[in-house]
Amino acid sequence: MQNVTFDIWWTVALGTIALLVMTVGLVAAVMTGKQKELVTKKRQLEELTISERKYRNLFEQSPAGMLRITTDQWNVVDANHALLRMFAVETLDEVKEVLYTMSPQDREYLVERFSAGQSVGDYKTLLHRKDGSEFWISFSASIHSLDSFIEGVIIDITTRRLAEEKIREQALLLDQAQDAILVLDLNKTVRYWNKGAERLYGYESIEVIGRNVVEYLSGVDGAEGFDRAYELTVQYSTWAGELHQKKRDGTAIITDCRWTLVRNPASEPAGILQVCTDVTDRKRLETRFLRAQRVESIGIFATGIAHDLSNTLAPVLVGVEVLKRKLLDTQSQRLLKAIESSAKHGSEMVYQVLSFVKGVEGKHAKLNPLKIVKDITGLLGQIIPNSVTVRTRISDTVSPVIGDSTQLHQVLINLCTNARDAMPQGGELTFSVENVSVSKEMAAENTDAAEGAYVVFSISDTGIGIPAVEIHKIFEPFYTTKEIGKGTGLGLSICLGIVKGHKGFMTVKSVEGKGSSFKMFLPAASEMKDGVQGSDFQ
Amino acid sequence: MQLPLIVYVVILVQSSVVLLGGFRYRSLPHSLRILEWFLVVTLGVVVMGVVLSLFHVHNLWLSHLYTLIELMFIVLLYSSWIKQKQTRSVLLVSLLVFFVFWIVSKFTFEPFSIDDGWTATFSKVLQIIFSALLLVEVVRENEIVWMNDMRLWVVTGIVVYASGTLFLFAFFNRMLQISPDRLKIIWSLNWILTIITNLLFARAFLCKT
Repeated sequence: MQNVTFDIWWTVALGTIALLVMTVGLVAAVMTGKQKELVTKKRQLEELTISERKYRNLFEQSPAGMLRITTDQWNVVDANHALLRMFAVETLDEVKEVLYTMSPQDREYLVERFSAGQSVGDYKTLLHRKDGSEFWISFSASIHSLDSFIEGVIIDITTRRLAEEKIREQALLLDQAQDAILVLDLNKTVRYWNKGAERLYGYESIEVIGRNVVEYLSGVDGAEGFDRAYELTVQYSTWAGELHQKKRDGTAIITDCRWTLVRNPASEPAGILQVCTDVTDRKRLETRFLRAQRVESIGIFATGIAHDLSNTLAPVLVGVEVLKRKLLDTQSQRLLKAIESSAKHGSEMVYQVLSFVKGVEGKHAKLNPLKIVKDITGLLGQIIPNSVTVRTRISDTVSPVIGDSTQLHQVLINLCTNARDAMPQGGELTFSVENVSVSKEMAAENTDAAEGAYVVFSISDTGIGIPAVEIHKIFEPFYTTKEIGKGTGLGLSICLGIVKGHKGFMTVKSVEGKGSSFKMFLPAASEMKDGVQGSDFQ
Repeated sequence: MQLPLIVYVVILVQSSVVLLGGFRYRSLPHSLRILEWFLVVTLGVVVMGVVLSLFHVHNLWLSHLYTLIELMFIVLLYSSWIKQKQTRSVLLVSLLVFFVFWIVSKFTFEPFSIDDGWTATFSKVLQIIFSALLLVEVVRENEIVWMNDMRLWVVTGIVVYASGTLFLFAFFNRMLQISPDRLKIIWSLNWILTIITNLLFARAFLCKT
């Protein structure tokens, strides 16, 4: 019993102490835990407050307009000072009024986007202030995930837009220019490429912008000239000169270029502005003009010689006539005949030179080209060997031409003789005549040509051809590929003179080793009633 | 019969706390006014118990009644603080169950002639559970100013008293049978806890409202 009593007292005492400690400890633990949680929350709250204050400062100090609006009616919940200044308003309700001045289409689009929970980035629209002034804005906004408000940033882009429009107008002006205008950076990458450049080089701007230009603008002989000009521009800030370049289709062109080094605001080289003009046609005409001048000079020189030579030969011929009557022996007669022949040949040469220089003016009449062809083909049998096959292609109807029959016969015989001489081993000579219409582009290629209807006589052979480097010289007087003594070098020059005297022009195409084709273009006259039909020659 | 000195100290402390509550009564919130009335009743019960014992009049019935009144006041007080309806319902249902238990106990195993060990123990257990429920709800709140939260002072006082006296009440009758003298000594613990609890209540009265 004593033990039980002792146990109860201790049970009560210890139990009480244990329960007290336990409950008080539990309360203290809960409170301490909560206290820690509260301290953490308080710290987080302070950090949040600091962050909010920081972002509030950003919001208020931002030069861009910022606002919060409701998704349905666009009621403005908050807007910063920059926005109020931009909109020229003082209250949030007035902000809404200005927002509502955007076009119905724009508003409808934005409402649709926001309704779908989508954001908007850099959406440009026009607003009107209360004083009636217009201003362009860039509107970027998204829906806040927590409270479903639209948070937006608005930037006044009126000035930028005006500048862009000005740049666009200037770009349009640059596109109107006939010259190729392009800008390269220092890595030779294209930054600007106008329509003129597209026309000149054949590349669209979208193809070349952002790419290295050398592969596009190098000449047929490589990039050496381009690179040299580039280096000079970088070195001396400007460069002007001619470049041999090629188009997209491979056509070689000559461009007159003015390059300028473009500097950035810090005066550091930033790129090169290139203005290039296609001078290919001008250069070709210049070359022909120079050649014509040279021919004219030679003609003047030759005229002087011819006159002197004529004066020198005249006594020889007179003396031969006198001696032929005095020296009657056979040997003397033979020698005198040889002297007379040489002197006459010399006189003929002098006559030809004078004819070439003075121009040949015969008696012009309306001629049927088919009649001329018929006459020539009749003569060809005597001057063309059997090893050469003659083919004739005549159009059914050919317009008449105005000219001197004898001179035209001379030209055609000369061309046929040249064709024969080009085919010593035999071949094929094709003689054709047809009506052609010379276009403006074709006329531009030949100084003597004019746009209109022509009758073209063609003599083509399958002979040795003319080297490409010499083809531009063949109409020059005294130029010949024949052996010395076999040709005077005046044949084609005289032919060209005759054709020019008929207001026509000549062209030649030749491939070395494959043959040549000469064409004589004569202006077409009005139709003849009783001309020879082409079917007569088939 | 001479009472221990600590009983007078308890009366003095309780009276002081009641006076403090009364002095600040106008500025007290509804819940603390309930507490004030609870303390007035408690003081009355203690004083009456002392007077009856001094005149050798049986006073155990007073203890029985006080056990019921005490729990009713605590439920009323906690209900004014607990916001969740379910928790309040738990308190009220528990009070109802306790009341039934109390009635049954008076007519069966724990009449007014003996100490109400079982009902008092049951009451203390319920008080601890109710306090825990209130504490859980308070802790869930985001904003708590610990030193100035009257609920925490009151709950701490009630929990300290209930847990500290649970074993005393549970074994009161047994201890009385074994050694009344020793019981008097150990019963001092009840008085000490009463003083502590009243001091905690006084602190609650001083909280800013």
